[in-house]
Amino acid sequence: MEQVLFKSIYYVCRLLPSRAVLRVGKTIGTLAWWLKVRRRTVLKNLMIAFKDQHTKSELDAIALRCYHHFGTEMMRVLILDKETRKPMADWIDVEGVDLLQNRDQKGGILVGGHIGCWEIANFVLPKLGEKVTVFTGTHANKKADKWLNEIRAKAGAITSGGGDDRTELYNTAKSGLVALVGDQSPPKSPVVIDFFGRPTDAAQGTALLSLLNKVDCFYFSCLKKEGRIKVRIRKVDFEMAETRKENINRLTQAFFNILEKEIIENPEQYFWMHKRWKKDPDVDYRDADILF
Amino acid sequence: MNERLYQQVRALVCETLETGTEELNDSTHFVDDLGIDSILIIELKTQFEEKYSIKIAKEALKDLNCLSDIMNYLLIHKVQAI
Repeated sequence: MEQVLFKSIYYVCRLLPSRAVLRVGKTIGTLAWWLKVRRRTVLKNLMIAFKDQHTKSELDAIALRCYHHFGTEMMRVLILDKETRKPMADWIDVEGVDLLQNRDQKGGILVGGHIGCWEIANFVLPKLGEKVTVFTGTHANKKADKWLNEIRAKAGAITSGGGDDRTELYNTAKSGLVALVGDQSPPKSPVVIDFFGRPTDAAQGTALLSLLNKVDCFYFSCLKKEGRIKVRIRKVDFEMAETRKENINRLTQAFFNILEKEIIENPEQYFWMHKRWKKDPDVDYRDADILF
Repeated sequence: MNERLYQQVRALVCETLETGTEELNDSTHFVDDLGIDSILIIELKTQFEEKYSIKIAKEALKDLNCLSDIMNYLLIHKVQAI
């Protein structure tokens, strides 16, 4: 039933002009906001991240723009192949690709966060003149996952599903560039970093890939800026420590520092809908709307 | 012979996972008890393959969750201490 619904929406979107589809996405975002879909979580996350920096109405405005952003991006996925037929220079600016080209090792890790337009990154990164394999997560719904990967492939993205098998990821990182998202909160992780001033669990896979393979780690983001898409690549620098455990912490913290800075600059483009600090005993996600 | 193999295996696991020997007993679960990431489990597999010149199928990884699992695997595959 779900698949029938999704496919119906997909085929209708194929018939509409791109701008109309993206406007529909923005409308869906507005609807989700008014229906309070995860609104409490979004507001609580914003309160934690920005503490006293914004008034209630400012946080509401950021939250609504966040819903608009993700509604739009959700619909963009359905027409990604149409979007990506345009010459890249017409709509995408890339900064920092020289860092990849001038790296010392054959392998490398490109790590991003749930910010901006990461589906476009799937398409852009392999076109930077370097072979990049994008590792995506696997959705619980296998049919939806397969369909999403077909849409990505149609748009020219070279993706590899991760799932529970990370052998391919491990092997590819030795001698090639791999791209993945690294700001998840795993069920169990010994890595705790500072994120917006709060101790936050972080995945250690990205740091391990970099350290074990002795390859550099680069941060990437794909953000909307003034009507265009800006892809930024930066080296994740940190000071080497004595132990691998400390290096994992330092590299992961360095990545999150860059991510945090980008989120502060573009708060509406970060995926605030998941409970980032759910394991923090001082954070209660039930009270956000009440506090407002 | 098995005792020597056991000591080698234990040492390699501790070195690869950067775990103290006091934290690791035969049934200590790498993921559930030590919070080891799956990438590190793959690295462990690579270390064993290099040390003992064997090939461990990636499908076998899901069953190699603790020291005794690794020992059983190596013994079944007639791996000997170096």
